[in-house]
Amino acid sequence: MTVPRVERPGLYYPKLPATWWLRNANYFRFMLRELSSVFIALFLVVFLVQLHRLPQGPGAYAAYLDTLRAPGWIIFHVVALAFALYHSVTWFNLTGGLAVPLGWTSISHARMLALAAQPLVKLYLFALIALPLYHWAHRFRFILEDLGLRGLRTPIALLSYGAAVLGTVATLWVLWQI
Amino acid sequence: MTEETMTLEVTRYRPGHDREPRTESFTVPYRKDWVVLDALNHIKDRIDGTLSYRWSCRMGVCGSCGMMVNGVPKLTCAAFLRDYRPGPIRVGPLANFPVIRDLVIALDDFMEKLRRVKPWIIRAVEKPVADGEYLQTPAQLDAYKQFSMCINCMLCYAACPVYGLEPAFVGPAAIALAYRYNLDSRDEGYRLREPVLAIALAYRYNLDSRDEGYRLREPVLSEAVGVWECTFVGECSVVCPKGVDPAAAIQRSKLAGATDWLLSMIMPWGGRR
Repeated sequence: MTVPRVERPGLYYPKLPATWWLRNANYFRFMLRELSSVFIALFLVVFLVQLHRLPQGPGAYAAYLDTLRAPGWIIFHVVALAFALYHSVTWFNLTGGLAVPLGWTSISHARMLALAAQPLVKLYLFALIALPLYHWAHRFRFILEDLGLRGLRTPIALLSYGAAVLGTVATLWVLWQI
Repeated sequence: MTEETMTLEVTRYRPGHDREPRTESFTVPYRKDWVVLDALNHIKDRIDGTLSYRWSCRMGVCGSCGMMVNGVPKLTCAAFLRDYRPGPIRVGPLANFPVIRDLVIALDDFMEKLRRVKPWIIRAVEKPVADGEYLQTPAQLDAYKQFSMCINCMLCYAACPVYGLEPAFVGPAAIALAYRYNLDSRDEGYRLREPVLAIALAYRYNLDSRDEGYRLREPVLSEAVGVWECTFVGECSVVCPKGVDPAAAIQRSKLAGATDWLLSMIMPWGGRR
């Protein structure tokens, strides 16, 4: 909601033109970042239509997939993929997940601490760290079994899932300390 | 040997005479150790005494000499001519602000916003002087230190398109300073600054049957002015001459506001800090 500004006589009030985002590279990158969400939304709509075709039978489903093979749709998907990648990069920059360790950006200790101390962030970090541990445990258990250690099924399962449980406890403990 | 020179294209605006600002070119001597402010002083002393601009300390502390240099908000005392060779250099008043004359902008709006976020330490009960200072650990100091480096130069406002489009937006520096005091371990004024910063929370209290503060929050709510106006362009942090990160302060205020709002919904009896 724009609030009308009381303008004092004699002063010159500059107007920001609609093309302000062409003024410098950072503004332009900001606009691209915001625009990336449009392509992601469009892709989701296309995907939703694909899901909608599923219950209509194999014919309708195949016909839709055929439509998507048209050059125009392929170009759209390539562009959408490029925007999705850019979108992800901006997220990494925001979260410091990859950007900090790789030195793309630097977040001070104080900033990182304040961020990690937020309860919602803690909840997110807990899910982010603890849940994939079970994913790892499950796969690791079957990797070992596939390598011929089927005789040790029970101890392998105990060790894998036990390690995930330990990791969960450790995650809780670490987050608690922040 | 002929003296090296540089051209400055300076925005001029004479209230009462000009309807719109215009540009005037001046040729000034080029010196390796001169900053844009030195060139402006040369123009005022030697070429045109009517040129108006603000400056004071010449050492990047007072925050008075902020101007647009080639379209980028800069402290002109820290913008060396040598970095703009061969020129010309475009010098204009800080963007997004009303212009009083030439390179002088009106500060009133920023000053009013600064007051509104109460950038001082608020205590529920002041302790008597005899009881000594409010002590702080180095870690507690670190929590807010970078945000306290702000010199109120307003470069971040000139860089902020959100402020340019919506002058009611409280803006980067004021929010960063509000955040700085919210982070200060000696401060207890979080709730008083909150309405300005987090609109969702002001709304939550308006909905509370025990609350009678609607009128007090109204001005803030009726104008969309707080942290949620920010779309995270991030240019405020890029142009800050003192290494403050107002964009981070705003995003973190959003997070803090959203967390508090969520907690107040889950635990209406008092899950908030």
